[in-house]
Amino acid sequence: MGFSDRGKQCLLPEEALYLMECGNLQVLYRDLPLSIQEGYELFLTLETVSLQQYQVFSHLKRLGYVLTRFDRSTVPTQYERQLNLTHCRDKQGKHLKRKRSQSPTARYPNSAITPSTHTTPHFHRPRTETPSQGEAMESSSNSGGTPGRSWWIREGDDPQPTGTQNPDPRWDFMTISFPDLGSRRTRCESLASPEPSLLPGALRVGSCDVGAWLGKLNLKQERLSRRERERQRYRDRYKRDVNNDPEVRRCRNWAEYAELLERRRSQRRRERPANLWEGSVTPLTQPGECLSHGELLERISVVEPSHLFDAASRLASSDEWSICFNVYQPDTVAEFKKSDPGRPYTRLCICSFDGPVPELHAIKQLSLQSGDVPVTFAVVDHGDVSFYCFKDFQLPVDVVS
Amino acid sequence: MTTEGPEKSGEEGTGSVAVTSGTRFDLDKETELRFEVEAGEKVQLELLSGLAEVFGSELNRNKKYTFGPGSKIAVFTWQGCSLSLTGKTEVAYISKDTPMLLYLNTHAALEQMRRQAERDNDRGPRVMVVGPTDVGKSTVCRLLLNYAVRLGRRPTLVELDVGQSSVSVPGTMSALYIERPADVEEGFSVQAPLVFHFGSTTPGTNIKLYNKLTSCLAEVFSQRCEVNRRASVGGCIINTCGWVKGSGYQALVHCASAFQVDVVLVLDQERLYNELKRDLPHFVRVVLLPKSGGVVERSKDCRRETRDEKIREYFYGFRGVSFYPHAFDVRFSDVRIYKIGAPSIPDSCLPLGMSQDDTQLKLVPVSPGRDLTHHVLSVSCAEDEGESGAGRGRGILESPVCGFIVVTAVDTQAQVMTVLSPAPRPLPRHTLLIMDIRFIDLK
Repeated sequence: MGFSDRGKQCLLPEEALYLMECGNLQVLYRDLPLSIQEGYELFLTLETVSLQQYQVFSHLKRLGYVLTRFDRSTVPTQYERQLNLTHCRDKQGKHLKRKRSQSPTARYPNSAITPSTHTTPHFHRPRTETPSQGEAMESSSNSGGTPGRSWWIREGDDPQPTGTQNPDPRWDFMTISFPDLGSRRTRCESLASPEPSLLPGALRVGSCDVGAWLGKLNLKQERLSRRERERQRYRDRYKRDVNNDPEVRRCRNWAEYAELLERRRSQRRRERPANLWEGSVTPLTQPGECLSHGELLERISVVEPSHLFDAASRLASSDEWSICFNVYQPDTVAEFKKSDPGRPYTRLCICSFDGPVPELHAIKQLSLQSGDVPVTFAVVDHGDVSFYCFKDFQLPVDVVS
Repeated sequence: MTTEGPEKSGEEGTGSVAVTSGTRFDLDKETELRFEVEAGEKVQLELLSGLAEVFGSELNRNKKYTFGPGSKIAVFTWQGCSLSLTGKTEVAYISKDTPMLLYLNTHAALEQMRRQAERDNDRGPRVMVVGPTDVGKSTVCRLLLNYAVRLGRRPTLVELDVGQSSVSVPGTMSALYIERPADVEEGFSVQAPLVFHFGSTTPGTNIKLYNKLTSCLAEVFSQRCEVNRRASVGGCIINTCGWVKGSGYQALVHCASAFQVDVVLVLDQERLYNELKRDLPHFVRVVLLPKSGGVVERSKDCRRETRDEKIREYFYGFRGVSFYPHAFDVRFSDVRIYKIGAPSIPDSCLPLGMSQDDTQLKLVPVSPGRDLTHHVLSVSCAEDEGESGAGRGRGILESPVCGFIVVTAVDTQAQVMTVLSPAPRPLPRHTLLIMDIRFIDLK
């Protein structure tokens, strides 16, 4: 505990307060012994150590752990680790530490500042960024604003062009008369004899009495199995004449009819319940879009998997979260040397249950700072301290697509 | 009237006919003589005076026409005629009750449409003939085609009846460009038909393939119409199969839209008429026509026999006298045999999210074995490329057939099979498609 500065033995505020609480140290302030209450008031300030940090410190200290203040510069970078520069770095760090200890308070510039809560929750961000979602939004905005659809409707419903266009099909079946027994059910008439030039060998035939044939039509009931009868009943009930549809009536040939059907098919694809698709929050997928379970699961997994060290180096560092202490285990106390502390057991980041949960961004950044040493979050709740840590793990995937 | 024309009489051909004094029939105008030939017999028909026609093909005066056993013939006269029948007939009677006048009026309407098409430089009428089995669909087709071609039109017969094809062997779907009236005995001369392999005698075995091939035929026909003005004006007459319920009905609707038909002739079924009127857009004229009283119901055996006859005719020619097929060995390694459509698997056995739609159009390689014996194989026109590439399966499905062979024997030891082929070796192509249809060469 403590450090030496220009030949003087110094203590950090939390160390001093801890020793005071243990009854091992008496601090004289203005020639008067400091009470513990005064110690709390004097030592725990915004500039030095927060109450929460001290609570964690003293809690672990009492349990026998060794805690030292964390200095980011003492952590070797990955590159340094790779080059095995740790040793030389340690020496430098020791040197640095001594130097920096001149102003111990300066190293805790914002340790007591509660992180502000104005940031957008990080977990929601990947959701809006996924391309599938973006597409869905785009298409839903199509259906919501109905620019694409109304264009078709306008074209179809506009009476202007259909009024000017000739809606007649190519063949005029009023003049080209077929001997259709079906449509003449009600009125019997005889067909005029066809023009001889239309007939092979310039035949001349008389008129044809269609009425006589009506009676000869096959009136025998068609034999249908039970299933076929059911199917037919279903058809009769639910299937309507395609020609009742005015849009179909407006088609003049197969090409137009096929175009209409195709248009309807694509429209049906675009038509979705408004309550689901017109708001700002839309379904992630729709029926028929995903072909396999794997694809569907991928589509609805809004929280993207992320590893602690993924892309952490590229993240902008924020000051809301910082590591406070290095922790060494009690069983190493005997060999512990301040000059060569070695690799800590863990590093502590202190926060409160009142404050926000650390974002993925912060967690990533802290783990990057800490390097190969895990970061533990000590969460203080009115003197009770709980410890949490985040570990990389793989979510089980049900379907491999 | 039957759908299929005269049958072959046997290996003797037209040579020896017991000449007995024929029965004379005098027909009034617009009547027809119907007769059926007894099994094992043949009947000679001669036009003594007047004019007469058989399914739209005119008879020559004083020429003897021979009809083989099982033939069901109707000789119609518009003006009145005298006929002589020689030989044993099962029945022979004169009927005044024929819907020929209705059919003729139908033809007149179609001809009007062709005229309009010629005038407007447009395409001619596309007609689909539908109806249940045994109502005379093929006969009506033949009639309308004959009338059209006698007026100098060049209509196309599209044969979608895979069970009783009048163009090629059963199990195929084909199109035939008609340039002259059907022969009274033989039917339409089959010069260069476009034939697609279907592989079975009922569309129900693979309705997906059936619809796909229908679309293929429609596409090819449209292409033809673009380059051939006469074919375009002539239009087409589509003969369909007698399956008019469920998927069969859906196939009819699909066919109508694939070919963009203008007229649908429904023979003798009001339900079908009403349903088609409901399901087809208004610019398609759906017409209900009666069937002829002369149509005879054919039994299953009769149908099977006609099918066999048709295959025999392919190899041996009409009446088995005109062609001489070749028999030779084909090494297994020289050919690739496929079957269209993988066996269906219950959905529960499929991987999650897999649907079975595509299995029906899949090409499944068949390893030659003893069970191949007597099967009819189509020789696909698909180019023989090296080994199967990615897009090749589709090509085989959609490419027409250039001929048929029948496997007569399989030698698994020597890895060869003996085939009956219309032409000497070698096979023009090496991609073979297997049919469900078997043919045993007995005669």
